[in-house]
Amino acid sequence: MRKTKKTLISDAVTNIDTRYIEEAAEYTAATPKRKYAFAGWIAAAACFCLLIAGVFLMRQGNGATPVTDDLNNPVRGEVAGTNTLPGEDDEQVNVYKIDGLGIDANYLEDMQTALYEHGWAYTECTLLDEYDFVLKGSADEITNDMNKDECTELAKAFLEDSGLNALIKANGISYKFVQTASEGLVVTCCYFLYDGENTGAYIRFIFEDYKCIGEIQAHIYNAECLDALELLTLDEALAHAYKVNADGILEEIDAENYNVKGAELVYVRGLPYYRFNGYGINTREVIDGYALAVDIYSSDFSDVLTKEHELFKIN
Amino acid sequence: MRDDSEIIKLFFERREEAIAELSTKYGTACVSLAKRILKNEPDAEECTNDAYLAVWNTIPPQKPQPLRAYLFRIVRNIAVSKYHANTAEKRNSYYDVALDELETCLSAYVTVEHEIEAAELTRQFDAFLATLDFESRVLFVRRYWYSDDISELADKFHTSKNNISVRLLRIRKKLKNYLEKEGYEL
Repeated sequence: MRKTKKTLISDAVTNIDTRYIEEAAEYTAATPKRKYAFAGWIAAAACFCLLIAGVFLMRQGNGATPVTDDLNNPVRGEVAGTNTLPGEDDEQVNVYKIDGLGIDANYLEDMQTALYEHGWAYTECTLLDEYDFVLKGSADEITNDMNKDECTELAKAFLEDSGLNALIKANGISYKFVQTASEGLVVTCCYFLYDGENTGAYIRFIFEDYKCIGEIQAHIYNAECLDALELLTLDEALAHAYKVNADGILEEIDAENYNVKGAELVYVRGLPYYRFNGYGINTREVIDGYALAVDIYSSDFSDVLTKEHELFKIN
Repeated sequence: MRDDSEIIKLFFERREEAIAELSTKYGTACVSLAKRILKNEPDAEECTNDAYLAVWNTIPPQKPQPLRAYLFRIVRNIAVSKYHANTAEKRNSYYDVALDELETCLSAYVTVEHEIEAAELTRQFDAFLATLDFESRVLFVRRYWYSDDISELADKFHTSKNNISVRLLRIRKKLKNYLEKEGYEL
């Protein structure tokens, strides 16, 4: 006898154990819970964060990233709060409320001085907004032919000499270094921790062929950790996908109309997104795409997070 | 409102107020359950009345514990039979949508004796449910046994519809993997 699987499933599900039926009938959800005790932390996540990114971020700042063969392999980005991608069951990532602290001119001068002391031939600073700036320079001579350990040492030394270390310690923040290497790129990432937990703030040093890349983009902000949310898988997140338009803001798209070629987990305005490249299956339009990697509407702070999402902008 | 043991006692005493008590206590839930499957209020009420009659005919000798699950199962059986009897008209009920979701976990056709397969699959479902955490298990049963729709589940679990969809997707993936390990063709 041939039966459709729908009939079979119907019959099979109907007869599941009575205790499960009773259990589900009795179920009453508790009031919404906070997923981390850490999430209640409001006070001291004031963390000065200097994000030093090289090629990827600068390309992003100059427009859509071209689709290349490299994008056939997902880029596994280091993100505070998680080291894996895509999301596995029950994996959680932190979400933040981001406030600009304002750029302190003295602080920037100190930064530039520190860069000179590390052999940067020149620096040029451009303010992007109240808490973003770009530093350009060159450090080829002294950073040439470094090995991985030396890359980390340079990052550590920069952190110490720039005065950032004192600021970080004054705010009760500690940090740890994690290094990855792939195809000529060495990424030394410094994660900031508060009470042993990732705060979401980090410094990233990128070296190409063991030479420090001479362009730096930095963000200085006050990050307040609001919640820890379940990390969606890329497929799940793509149900609500966006492309970045010419003004740097998001426009919703149907991801099924695009061939998605790469994915990297990044934070924008304190929210984790899958950043991907793609091109229109019919249109061949090349896009920079983003998909929220968490369900912000399930958070107790959904109103704040929704606002951060709406304010998404790529310079 | 009487507790279940008192209602069962009324059935044993063959007192007709047993059905009135049953209806007062569980009537709304029964109609709601049947309606999710049949998508039709009059049919759902008819199913529920048929279920009361079935309970009347089976208690005694049955002395179900718990009474609620026993009644709900009867309602569901009757509603599903009715659903199969007029499937063409009743497409797109919540039950149908829920079944479509689960269908992806199994092969296209089952070519062996259906009843045996269904019984075996029930055993697998029970074993699978035992591996889930409490909330996931409740979510699965509410969705695929009670045929709750996503909005109802979001309200019940105090979360968003998107969150419920994602959690169900993950449970189905786990079920698929589980059945695959147990030798079901996928």
